[in-house]
Amino acid sequence: MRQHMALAMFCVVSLLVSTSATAYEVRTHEELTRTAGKRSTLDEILRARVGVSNGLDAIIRGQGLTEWLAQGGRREDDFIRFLNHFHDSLADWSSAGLLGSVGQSSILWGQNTTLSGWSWQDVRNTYVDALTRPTRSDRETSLAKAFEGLGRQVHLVQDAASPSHTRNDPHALFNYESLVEQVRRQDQNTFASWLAGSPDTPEVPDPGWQMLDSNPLAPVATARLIDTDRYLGGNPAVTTGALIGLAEYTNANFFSEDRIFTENEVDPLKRFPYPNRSSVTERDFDVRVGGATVQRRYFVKSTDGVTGYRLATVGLLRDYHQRFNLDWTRFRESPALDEAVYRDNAERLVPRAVAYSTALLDYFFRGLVIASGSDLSFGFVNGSDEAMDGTFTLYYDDGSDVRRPVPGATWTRALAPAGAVEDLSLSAPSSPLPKEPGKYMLVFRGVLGSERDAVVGRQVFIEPMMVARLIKRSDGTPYRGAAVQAIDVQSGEVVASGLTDQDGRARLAWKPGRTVLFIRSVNPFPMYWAGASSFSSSIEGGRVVQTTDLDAQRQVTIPIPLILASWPERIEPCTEVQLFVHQPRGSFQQSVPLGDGRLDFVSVTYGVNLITFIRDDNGQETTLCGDTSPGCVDPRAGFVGEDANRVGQVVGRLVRDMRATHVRQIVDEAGGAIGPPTCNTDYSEVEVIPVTVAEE
Amino acid sequence: MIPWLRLVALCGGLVTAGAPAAWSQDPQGWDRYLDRPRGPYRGQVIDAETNAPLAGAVVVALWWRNRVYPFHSVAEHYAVRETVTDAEGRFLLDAKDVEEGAPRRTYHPEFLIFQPGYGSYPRKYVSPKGFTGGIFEGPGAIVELPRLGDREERRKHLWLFGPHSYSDKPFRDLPELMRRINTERIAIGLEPYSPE
Repeated sequence: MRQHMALAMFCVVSLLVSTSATAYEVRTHEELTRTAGKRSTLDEILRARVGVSNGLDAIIRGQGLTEWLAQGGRREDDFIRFLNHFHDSLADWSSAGLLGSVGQSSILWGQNTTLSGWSWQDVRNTYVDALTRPTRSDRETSLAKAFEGLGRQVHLVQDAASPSHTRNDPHALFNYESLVEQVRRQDQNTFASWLAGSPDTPEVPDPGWQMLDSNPLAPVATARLIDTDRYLGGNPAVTTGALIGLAEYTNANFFSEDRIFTENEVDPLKRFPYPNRSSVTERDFDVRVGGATVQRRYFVKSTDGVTGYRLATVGLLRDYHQRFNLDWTRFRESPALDEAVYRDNAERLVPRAVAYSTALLDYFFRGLVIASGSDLSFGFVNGSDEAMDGTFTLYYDDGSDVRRPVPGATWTRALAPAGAVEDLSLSAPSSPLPKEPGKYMLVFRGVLGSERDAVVGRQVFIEPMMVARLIKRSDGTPYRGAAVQAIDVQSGEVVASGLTDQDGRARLAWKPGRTVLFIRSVNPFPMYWAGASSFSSSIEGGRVVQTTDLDAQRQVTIPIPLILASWPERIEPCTEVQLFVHQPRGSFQQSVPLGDGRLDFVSVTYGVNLITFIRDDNGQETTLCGDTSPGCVDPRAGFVGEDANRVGQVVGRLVRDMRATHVRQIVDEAGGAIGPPTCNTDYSEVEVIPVTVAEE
Repeated sequence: MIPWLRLVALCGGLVTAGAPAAWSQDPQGWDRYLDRPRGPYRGQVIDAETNAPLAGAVVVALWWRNRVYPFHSVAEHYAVRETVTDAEGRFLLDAKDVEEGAPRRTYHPEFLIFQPGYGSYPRKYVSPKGFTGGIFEGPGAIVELPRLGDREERRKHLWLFGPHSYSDKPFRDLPELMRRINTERIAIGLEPYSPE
């Protein structure tokens, strides 16, 4: 008994390992996978949605992302994993693997979270890690691993374009896959033409595969890329359409080495209804053998599905077989698959392997969330074609590239396609500060269409917004129409500008922890808000606004002093009006009736030679006007922002060189002088007058 | 039939059925494996448009071997070598040590020829057309590489091959290839590979 068991074990081991040569060879898988990656939307999605700025060009953990993808395609055959790369589309999925039960169906294997280690859900989990793990290193490692996992997933799809993998045919030594690899190595032009497209259309799967009912044994829709359960063994015509699984197409239309005309096989594991003897006609073709051209007769597929290519050679005993009407079930005529057959197969199967692989890659990244707005009020839209029901969470990267969830920024929502969530708000993270304010990773996890635990990542920009509310310090009323700017304190660039509205509010984009507020137009001198009701003349003295400065409405209220300049003026004793005025060429006239036809007439002529304002603190001199000036400038032109903090204090001096002529005369109603003038005095003085900061 | 006997029968049936079907199916005239040392390998690399020789192009030869077990084989890396074209665009890759010591079922080498700014052989080249097995044996062959156009074409061309397909430690085994790939990456604004 022990000897029998040992023999059985040897046979099992031999059998298991003997099948390894039946897959597309690993270098073929690698190139098919690279090509699928190139044709997919991966590059665009990585750049535009996932925040990998270099897309597929990115080097992660020493390798390009296309290399990680290719590595997955290459390594899925490692050890005895290949035993699970078969799928007989006519069998129940639970027994559709190699020889029914030696290996698992490739569809189940691709979704086997217990044994595979690289199942679809494992790749999803790895992708979540790539989006959410705290350290950059962990995220990158996970992204690389996710791409390797995708490479392994498409490997399973590609194997469904190998006849032996869909017809339960473990096979050693030279075969279809060997030929494909040999052409890849030694006839790149031909291989490139296979990659480029199939002579039969359609070669790209109908997107409807995503909507087909799921099979509980392997519920993720990618199973339908391999088997839609639409080809049932009696309807090969269905495989000419685009809505068909790749294993079904291959099973119904091609032979593998030991499954040639097996429609009448007794063993159900070997019995395949199509192609059968009624599916073919015979034709002679010229082929090269040993340097010579000879004729060889082939079975050409002429009906029952896809047509127009060589299926197998006609066996040498064909004539004999027909002449004596031998029983097919007793005497095999031994048709075989030669190089020409393999080439005809590859012409149709290789491009489909690429197209279906591309479809899987695109499916993985199909989810789309579109976010817009600011943190005061933002929303997101389900941009996918399928409903989303799950949790949306925002993450941000701090200055050390540590990815952190944004406190309070998790929402559980069910969104139909184009469904939106609106009027959300969040507190821009402040501890620690973000590396790039406003930049977030929005991660969805939940149901996406028929996929129970899908993952969608989307880098979004949610502009941080704040409200600067200006009120008059004197009475607390809103200050309207004031220009306010948010300035990046590090770069000096204006982040946003705005005018205060009827309530004194200006909405401004800002960068938390990097922004100062510049109030340009309230007073005639520039002011940077320095906190509370203090101000500065320089950006360095400005208050860097923190999120803690804002109230629940993201608002900071700034009491603004409206600054005046004041200085004492003398009254001329005779005319009783101001001795001087700040006008280069001014005059004043006044007539007061005295009641008896006489008028008390006052006339003053003003002039300025020069007025300057000199600051006390630094001696800075500002010319306010001269003899030829069109007018005089307010002394506040020499004020600085800090002066707003010094109400009641003297900040400088006016140095005035002025002149005036004051005349007072009694006149009659016609303006004629009555008697001598009461006074007629010319003044010309240089004086220094202190200027005090005043508030309106 | 008791289960173990059924298994043995199935096993035997498959093994015996597999052998004849595998017989005589190698493509005509195509040698899969090295039957003897075939090097040194020679060639000339030129600009497809101007026919000017491309000096400094890297030529990589990669040998795979098929390790065969009873009814089973595993393809694995055997060796990799590189050389650089001279001023006339010619290369000579002496692989005597590799091929004389090559185990049975070592495949003919695969080649990669790469020059920054150009398409590569065998991913994007102009000639030779058709069957290319063994073209670098004996007197060798002329390989015409097309100058690539814009940045987009150049970066997508780099997706078609990767240094890690030729070696797990490309900086150690293929320093000239890595230098040129990095030159190309930098030229089109991509980060270069760095040694792990």
